[in-house]
Amino acid sequence: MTSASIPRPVPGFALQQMDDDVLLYHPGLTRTVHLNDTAALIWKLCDGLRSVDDIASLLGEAYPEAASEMNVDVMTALARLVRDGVVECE
Amino acid sequence: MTPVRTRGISFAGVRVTVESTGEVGDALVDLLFRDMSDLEPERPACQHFVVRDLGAGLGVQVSSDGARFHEGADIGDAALKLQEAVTMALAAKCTSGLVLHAAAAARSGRALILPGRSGSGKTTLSAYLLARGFTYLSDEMVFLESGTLLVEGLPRPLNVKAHGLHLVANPAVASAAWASLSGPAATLMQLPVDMAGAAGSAASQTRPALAALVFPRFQPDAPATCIPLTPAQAGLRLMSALLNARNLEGHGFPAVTALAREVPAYELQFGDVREAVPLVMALP
Repeated sequence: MTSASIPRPVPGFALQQMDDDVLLYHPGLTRTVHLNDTAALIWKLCDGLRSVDDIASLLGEAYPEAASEMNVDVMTALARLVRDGVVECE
Repeated sequence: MTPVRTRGISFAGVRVTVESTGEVGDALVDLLFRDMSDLEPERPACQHFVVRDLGAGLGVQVSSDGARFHEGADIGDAALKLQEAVTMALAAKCTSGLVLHAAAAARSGRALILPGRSGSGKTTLSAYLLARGFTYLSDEMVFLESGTLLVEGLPRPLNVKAHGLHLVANPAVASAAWASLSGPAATLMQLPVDMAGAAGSAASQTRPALAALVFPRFQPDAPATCIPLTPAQAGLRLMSALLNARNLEGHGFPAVTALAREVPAYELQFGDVREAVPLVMALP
């Protein structure tokens, strides 16, 4: 995955918002995934159009105090979402 | 001609029947199912089990719908296999609510559900809660009918694994009035009638209301801790304890998450069950 990669959500997951966190469940895969508030936010920004850079920029604008680390943080979070099977990336 | 006895077992809106013959077959069925009610005798059985006494020390044959899954003199092994098969049949056919792989116990009309995998400490913890005045509901499987928080437990004999036997089979927990039967994988321990009576009534008309979810986590040598879980953490754990997901709308995901939002949940980690019990007793 590079900063130009475009992550998109794996289709078929049902979502339940649980306070700030999110639970995702895929009936076909019988897999449940728990996303904390940060991971849930990044997952929601993965629309198949925005690049990793776009997502980091959006979050950097929303959280300027963390902007300098945002690229690394977003990349790390996305790598985990890919590993959990809820996001795929070309 | 050998008399044939047939016992109906109802749980979670599902009914199975178990037929037995001979002294050994009847005794085995009594041990396993004495405390299970047949609340809906008119309901057709979804599966029929047969325990046939082979006589003259040859043991029993256990079968269901033509499939034989035990034959021989090891009665303990036969009991464990029958117990597991009946439990799974009841879970697999339930469509009217959540069936969870969980123990449960109640006090003052309020139930605790203890979901967890084998080895998490469900049975040991249940036994110690009984010794502290809780009513036994199950050490393996519970049912929550859709739209309710009323808990029905499957009141089977405690299924105690070898590593937990010294903790349960001691006078502080199980008196000499408990019956037991050992198999290769576990020892079945049947509550005395005076303790089990409450389980029978709980399974029938007076189901206790769910007060909390407690996820036991046995960890050798770990100090006992009881930590509140967020609804998302509880929901994640509940999904892995759900036994009849494929029968439910959305695989039970909406119902499980609703439950996790509604009921307080805790993770109970312990290395010594005796340290864990006071933490459970102190829950609100």
